[in-house]
Amino acid sequence: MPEPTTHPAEVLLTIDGLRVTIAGGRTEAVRGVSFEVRRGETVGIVGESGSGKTLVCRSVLGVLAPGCAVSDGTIDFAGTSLVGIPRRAWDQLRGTRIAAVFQDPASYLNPSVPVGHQLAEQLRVKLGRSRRDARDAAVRLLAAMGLHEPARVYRQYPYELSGGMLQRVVLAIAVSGDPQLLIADEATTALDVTIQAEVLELLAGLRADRGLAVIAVSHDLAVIAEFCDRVLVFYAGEIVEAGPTAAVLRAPRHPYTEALLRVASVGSWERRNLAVIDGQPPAVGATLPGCRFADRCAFATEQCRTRPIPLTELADGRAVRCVRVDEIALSGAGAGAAGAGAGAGASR
Amino acid sequence: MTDTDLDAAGRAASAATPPTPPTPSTSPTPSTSPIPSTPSAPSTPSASSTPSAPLLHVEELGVSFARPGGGRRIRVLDDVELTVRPGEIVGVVGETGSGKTTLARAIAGLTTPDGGRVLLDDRDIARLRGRARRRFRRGGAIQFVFQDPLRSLDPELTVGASVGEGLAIAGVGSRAQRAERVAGALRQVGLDPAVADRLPAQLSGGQRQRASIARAVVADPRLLLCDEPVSALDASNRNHILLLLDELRRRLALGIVVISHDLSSLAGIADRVVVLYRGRVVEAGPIADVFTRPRHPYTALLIASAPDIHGRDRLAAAQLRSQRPDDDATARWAGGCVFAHRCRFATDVCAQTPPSQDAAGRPAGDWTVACHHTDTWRNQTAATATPTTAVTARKESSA
Ligand SMILES: Nc1ncnc2c1ncn2[C@@H]1O[C@H](COP(=O)(O)OP(=O)(O)OP(=O)(O)O)[C@@H](O)[C@H]1O
Ligand SMILES: Nc1ncnc2c1ncn2[C@@H]1O[C@H](COP(=O)(O)OP(=O)(O)OP(=O)(O)O)[C@@H](O)[C@H]1O
Ligand code: SF4
Ligand code: SF4
Ligand SMILES: [Mg+2]
Ligand SMILES: [Mg+2]
Repeated sequence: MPEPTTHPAEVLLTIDGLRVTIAGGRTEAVRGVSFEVRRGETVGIVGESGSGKTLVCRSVLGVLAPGCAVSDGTIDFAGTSLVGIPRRAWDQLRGTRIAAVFQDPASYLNPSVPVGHQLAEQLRVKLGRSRRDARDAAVRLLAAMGLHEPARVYRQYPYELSGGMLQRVVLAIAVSGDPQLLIADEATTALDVTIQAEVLELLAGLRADRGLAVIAVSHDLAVIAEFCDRVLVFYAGEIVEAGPTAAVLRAPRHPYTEALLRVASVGSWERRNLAVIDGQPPAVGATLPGCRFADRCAFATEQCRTRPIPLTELADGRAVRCVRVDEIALSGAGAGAAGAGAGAGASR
Repeated sequence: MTDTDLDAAGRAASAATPPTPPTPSTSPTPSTSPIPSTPSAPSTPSASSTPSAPLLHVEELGVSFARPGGGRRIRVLDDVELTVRPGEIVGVVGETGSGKTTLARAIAGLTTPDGGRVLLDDRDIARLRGRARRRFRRGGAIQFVFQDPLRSLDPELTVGASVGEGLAIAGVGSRAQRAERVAGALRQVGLDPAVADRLPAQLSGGQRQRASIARAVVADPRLLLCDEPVSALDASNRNHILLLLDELRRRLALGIVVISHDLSSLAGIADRVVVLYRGRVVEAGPIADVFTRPRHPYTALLIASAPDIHGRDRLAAAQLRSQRPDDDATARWAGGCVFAHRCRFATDVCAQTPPSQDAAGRPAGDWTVACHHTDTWRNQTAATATPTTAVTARKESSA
């Protein structure tokens, strides 16, 4: 975790009460999500498959699939409201102020155009560079992404590059317009571990060099642990715990966070009984009177099932959605968890 | 452990006095699978003296593909060796393109190797042709499980029909008997037999992967080849599936090969691991030992790169990466060690001579390493072991 900043930076993105429906408005898959991202901050979103992580990202980017829509709530980006703005306004923001990288880099590149040309095109269109200028800037940017022989990569087609190289190219395109916010949705999930570590380090470097704020989504808590200042734990369309990553890992306060920690990659090389979370999350959009985690929670009592559980702020800068938060004792990731540095394998 | 998996006559003899292997942090006995050797293994008569004769033994396997434009073929696997005993789980790890899937396909007979042997119960199944090959395939002794369960489950067919498809094609039993076996297989993978009537789309990702494992085990296979069976699943479902494999090998004495990028959870269930780099086995041995104290620089880099919720002591990835830019790597290092272009510890000998598993430096037992500097590279990391994060190191080197 990077050193906590002494004075908090200015808020860049504020999401308040976001609700997203799927299936043409009939099903609510994101149920009132609120959080902030400050300039230069890295916020991780973690949670099991289907918990609504991608829908939140796509709402911020204005690229929800047909049939999906923001039904309530506000998204404010540096003073501009992003809900219900016209398409043209989106096009101006995307790429220059907000950018994104997803799991599958190949699908965001044109297979029949050399990757460098695609990057240079962005620089021309978004920043109004001249053709020649754009080419030189593109080669420099490819080099800054850790690609060796950038001039050669510039001329290569997507199929000639490995997954890790492609993700670097997509990152180059994403940061080419000098955005303030980068959304990385499972950006390293498809990469093998050595390349994943390099791309995470690249992201950490971009954050440090450019003051870039990052929203990093992963269902692997270990990836979040090594990379993010703060973490938001999603469960069935809601935030169930939020707070500084180190504190949350050291001493989770929500039973679901504890469960996620138990199943995460723990860097143990011993044969052991792998932990699992029994049961299934509620069906998407299911309306339940009380806690959405109750069916899988070892601490559930009657009071958990009777009324909606609010997300409550705790004294230490954390927020937890659990009525029994002060009664239950949970275990964390152990003493080591607090010190993981940005990037892979920091030795202390 | 005795070299049951080695053709003692040839190879073992050439191993020059091996240096003392580092003391593994675990017990010195190589991890043996918790199940007794299978009493039902019919074709391993010689198994009595050695408790676990190999079920599968791959040796000197080579695979190459034709280049699209002709010319010299692309070598994808070179001199690969792999042994799986009944009831044993062997992990295969390595970066994208290192040949993991090709290895599994060659074992299953889906890719024809250009050299080497694939011995199942001492019979070379790579050499089967024509009718013998078809009969072997239909027997279903080797089954595949893919990353995407929809590759084995037809979206148009009910789960029950997909699981029973192989039995139906082979004409096993009556319809009712097949339905019974399908239900049994579904139960075996922890699914309610009632899901037989559903379509794959009506199952969650984890349930679908269970169904595709049911399809694989319904035929009573001896060997299961699982190609990234959990890569598409979240952490909880991933562990569910791995636990299921662990249970199946115990209950059915299956040999299982699991290809995975998730090193930590793989170590939770596997006995041994084979590390591939560019089509060669660079290290192989008991998984806890190999991952705790890797003896090949590539394995060490792999381990250092794995994300971890604990910030525990391990070599920083940055300390293990090459300081040279990796451009034009293939040209400069052709002929030497496959990892040389990325290896921080490469010397002239690495560039000229490929290290072999049998070379001096090979440790005793069943832990093999292909590196010229197995015993010395680690000393060089100590000198540079300043507590710097990988990120700052990267900035310094690019400044
Ligand atoms: N385009 C869509 N049409 C219909 N349903 C959708 C669509 N996109 C998402 N959903 C549903 O909304 C829910 C939340 O989806 P989302 O993609 O946000 O999950 P996620 O947390 O990103 O999961 P994963 O880890 O699998 O990516 C899921 O149940 C999903 O099936
Ligand atoms: N049918 C084929 N024809 C030509 N080349 C092939 C063929 N199949 C695989 N290859 C090449 O062989 C190499 C090894 O591929 P393989 O799919 O076995 O790797 P892998 O280790 O499974 O990688 P990944 O982790 O990405 O699945 C790659 O360079 C690939 O491009
Ligand atoms: S509110 Fe109750 S059921 Fe929900 S997480 Fe807390 S203890 Fe468990
Ligand atoms: S043989 Fe040389 S290049 Fe290859 S891994 Fe060992 S030290 Fe590195
Ligand atoms: Mg998603
Ligand atoms: Mg593969």
